[in-house]
Amino acid sequence: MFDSISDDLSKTTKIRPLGDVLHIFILLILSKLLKTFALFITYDLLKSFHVILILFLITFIASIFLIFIQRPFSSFRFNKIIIFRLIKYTICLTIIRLLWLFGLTLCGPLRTILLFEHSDIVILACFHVLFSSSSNLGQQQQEKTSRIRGVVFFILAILGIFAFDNDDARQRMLDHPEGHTRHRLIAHMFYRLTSLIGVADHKGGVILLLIALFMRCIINSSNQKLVLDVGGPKKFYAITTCLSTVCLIPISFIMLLINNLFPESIDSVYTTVQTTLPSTISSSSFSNNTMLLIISIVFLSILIFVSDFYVEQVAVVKLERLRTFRYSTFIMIGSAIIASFLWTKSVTIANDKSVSFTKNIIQNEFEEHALSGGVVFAIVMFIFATDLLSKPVQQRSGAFIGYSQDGMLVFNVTQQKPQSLLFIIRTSLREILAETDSRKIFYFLCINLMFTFVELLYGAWTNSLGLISDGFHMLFDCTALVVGLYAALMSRWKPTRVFSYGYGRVEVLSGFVNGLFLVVVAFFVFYEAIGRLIDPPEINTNRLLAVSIAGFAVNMIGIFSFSHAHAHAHGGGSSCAMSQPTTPKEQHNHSHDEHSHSHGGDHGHSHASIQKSSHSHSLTDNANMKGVFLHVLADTLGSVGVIISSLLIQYFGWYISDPICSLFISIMIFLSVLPLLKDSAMTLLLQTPSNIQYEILERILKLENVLSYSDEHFWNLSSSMIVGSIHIQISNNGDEQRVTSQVQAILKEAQIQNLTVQVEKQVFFNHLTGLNSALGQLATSQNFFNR
Amino acid sequence: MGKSTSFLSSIFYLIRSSHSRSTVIITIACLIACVIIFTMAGQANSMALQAFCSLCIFDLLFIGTALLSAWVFENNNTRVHQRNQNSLDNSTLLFIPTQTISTFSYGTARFEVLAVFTSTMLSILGAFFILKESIEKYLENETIHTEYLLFASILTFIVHMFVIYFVRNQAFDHVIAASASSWLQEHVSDIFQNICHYIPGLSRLLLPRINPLALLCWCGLTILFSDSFLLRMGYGNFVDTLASLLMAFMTFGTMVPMAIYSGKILLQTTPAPMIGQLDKCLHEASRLDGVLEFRHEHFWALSFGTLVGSVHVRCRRDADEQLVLAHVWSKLANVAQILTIHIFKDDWLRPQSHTYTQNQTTNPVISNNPSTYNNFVVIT
Repeated sequence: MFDSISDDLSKTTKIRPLGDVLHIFILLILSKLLKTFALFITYDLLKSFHVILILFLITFIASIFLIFIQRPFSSFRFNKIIIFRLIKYTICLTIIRLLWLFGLTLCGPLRTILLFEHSDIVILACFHVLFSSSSNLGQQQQEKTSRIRGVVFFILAILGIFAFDNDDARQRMLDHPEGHTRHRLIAHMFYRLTSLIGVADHKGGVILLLIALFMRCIINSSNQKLVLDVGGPKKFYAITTCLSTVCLIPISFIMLLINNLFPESIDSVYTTVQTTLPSTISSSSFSNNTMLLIISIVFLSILIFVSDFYVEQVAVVKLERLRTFRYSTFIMIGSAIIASFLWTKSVTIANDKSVSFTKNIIQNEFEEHALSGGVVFAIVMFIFATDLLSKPVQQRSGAFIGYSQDGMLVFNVTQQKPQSLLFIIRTSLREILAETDSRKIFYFLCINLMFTFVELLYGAWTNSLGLISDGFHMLFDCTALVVGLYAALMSRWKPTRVFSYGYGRVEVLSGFVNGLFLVVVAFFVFYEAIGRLIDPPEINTNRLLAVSIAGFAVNMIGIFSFSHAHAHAHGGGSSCAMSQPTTPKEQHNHSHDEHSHSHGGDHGHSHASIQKSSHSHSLTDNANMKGVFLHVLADTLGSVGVIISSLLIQYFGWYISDPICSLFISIMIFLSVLPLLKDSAMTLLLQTPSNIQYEILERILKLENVLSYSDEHFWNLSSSMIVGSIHIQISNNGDEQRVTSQVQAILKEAQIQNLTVQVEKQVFFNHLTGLNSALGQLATSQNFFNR
Repeated sequence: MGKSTSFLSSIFYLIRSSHSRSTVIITIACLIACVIIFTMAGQANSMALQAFCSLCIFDLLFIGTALLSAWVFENNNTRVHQRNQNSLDNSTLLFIPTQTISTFSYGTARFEVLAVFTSTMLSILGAFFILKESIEKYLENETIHTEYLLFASILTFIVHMFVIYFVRNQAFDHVIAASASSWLQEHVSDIFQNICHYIPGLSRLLLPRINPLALLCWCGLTILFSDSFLLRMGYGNFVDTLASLLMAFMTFGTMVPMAIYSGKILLQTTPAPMIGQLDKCLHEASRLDGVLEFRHEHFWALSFGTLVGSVHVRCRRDADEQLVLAHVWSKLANVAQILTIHIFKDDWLRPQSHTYTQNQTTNPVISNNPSTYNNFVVIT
């Protein structure tokens, strides 16, 4: 589907000069203008007739015309599969047209044109940008950015119509949802639906139109082969129109029977026609009106379904696909604006006339579907979007200026084949479950997510904002787990050209990021707490307690599962998480102290929860797991705080206790995160690990022939791996390989796995001066020899 | 403890020295502005304003980074100075080896990278937090006071612009210049290019790369203006949520490339633009006489613009090691500033061991060095 669209966009057919095709161009403009006009009339007709009836009549007349023009059934070979597919297509088409007309009644013609009259190319380009992340190399980067901008404009335009278009008349109609008496059955269901979702009336229309637009796009692009099978688009169009008439016959008959339309419609025709074509109609005889109705419907069907289609077909052939669609969209939008101006004015005049004898009728309806700020914004945005999205792909020859000096110019050729989603999920699940760390995080993540969704669903069901926002908070917390999980996965990847040491460091970095995350959380909690300390708000605590206890339970599972990993690594030395350099024993006493006043209780409780997790910050620990663990710990602290403060509020009414609790919690989160931050930062800064003692280097110096050493660098790659490099200067008669192996042996004892030893002699520096080479960091060691 | 006091003293040094005094003044001013703005944001109850004001906190981090990079610069200078002094009176060095393992064997240059990473990451996480908060606020649906909105946003704008353009920050300058463009930059440059198609005269003004932080500030200001306008029109909280979401996404977009750039340095990786040059040098070096192959090539960026390399070279058994070392060094030293080359030969012990065993059978006394012997056993 997407391939066809990119083909369409990149097709570089020779654009004919405008002079050659001017007549077609004018024809296109005319037909589009007339179509706009017809849509406005249809809207007024729809006020008084049922949607299905109008659609039936229009398609019926259009199909009669098309049969005469095209004679589609003359050379049609009947094939079961083709007929089946045709019927499928026709049903979809009919549903789309129904939706479209119904949207027209709800939104008015201007908005309908804005929303519905987009070519398939634009919509497909939108989807192409949104859902295919793989940038094909043919399409240039800059084209892609402009496409993305086009999509953003498109979405903004829809949003402008949807949210910022205060269509007051329609909103008033919401109070009397049965305003359109003609469309009882569908309308009733529709109003039920919209009131269920909770959007205004015309917004429902916008949604309907969008659905219709996307459906049209989908069926058009998926049935391109069918069009060819039937024999050309014109024939296809004729056949489907006829079939859709056949489709509509039973429905419209049922409608006629149910609604008993005719007696009502007579007087409605009377009023409608008076409002629609006020200047032409002065008499009001019954036969005249029916004649007028028939004439107008014939007129409409020709304009909307016949002439427009043929002109478009011709224009596609003569002009170009993209150009046709671009110009037609622009023309439609422009003419719709003008027409809506005129229309509002004429309706107002009509009303002024009618007000004199029918006092209270459509008094408030004359401003209906007028221009608003949102619509103007949407028009501008739609024009931009259409321009950007239907711009043909062109090969730019000029160099791009705005980039940095290091654009991604090399080694960007790893073009992977897109794999199926199922396959990706399966392999990644297998990878996750392969190792204990990631498995633990994954299970806990699942529990957390389940809890979150239960909470969100329950909150939505009972309509409780507190629950929903707490659910969002949980979701937010889950991201830390996701980061941890991803890092745990990544750390097992194989080394690549760029990541020559492998991905082990990702865990350290993710631990650091999780630490920063907690700092941000602590900061915001602190900020809010100070705000509330000044002005403590009233809090409704009745459901808070249960939720926070449930959250506490979930987090305790996490704490136990994660702290188990720590516990078997080291004994019970709990040294971090507290600011005061207290020994574990003192802490223990502190936590078992029975504080009489309730704040102490809070304090003691949280201490206890820290105590359970006995983890120390030795360098051999996994920073990633520690970060995840600390995050869970912070959550637990949060729920403990909520439990205590809500208890206090419930029993004593101390509203101040909530901010105080959150202050304490934020400070505690911050202090507990500091060791993790410090450790991981030190690893990232390539600190020399503490177990590399000076004695080791002393032993190197004592080796035979070794004169000195320089540039000794030892650092932790990840929690388990130490990397080292050293330069050793030896006397001229020493054997390099022997010294190297001796040094290697010494340093291997110090658990340095990845070692590089450079052995230098006086000759080396002589060679270097001979080669006139850059010395780099060698200045000092050379001085050693030159002395 | 000693480290922290030295750190503190260096901060005091920064305050005392003339060139950073202005920075300190700016810091204090920024802090005060931050407090004012945040109280106003709290009063206004608008998430969009809070999202914009988080730029102020980023400014504080920015200044911190600037101070740190100035400190690193000073540190390097003094180190080089000391090193030169050391080399002068080197005579004592041989007898009393004063070389001890320093905590940061590569020096403090990497602090800058970490500072940049931390500040960008903090603002990303802050934006993320604001994303969540704004959704919560939308659900709570409290009223927004618009009277502070304009003043606070203009104040933030002024502070931010002042900090960005008047605080000299080498680290951020480098990152901004070297990291990939953010989506905001790309779109703006695309728009400007399109404009320049119609009005070519503007090309000098519009086409150069825009500072992403300044761009973020401009866009944020525009968003806040339209936000306050729409709020006064009475469009309700939806507008505010939308504006704050947009702000948060823009902050993401601006910060993510910088965070990726500095994070990749922290992850011990080869910078992408260096790979081509590096491969060329390695290819040349592998053709040198005596070189058989390279193993364990690790080239990674220590800090902005410093490349550290270590490589194992397998060379022919009859090659002169020092000559090979010197040649490989001269090839690679142009790319990597800090280099360690490990030369090894296959079966280097065999001829020796052969003679050794012969010696052992004939004359066992010759096993002169017991340490060598031990080592031989250990190795095989």
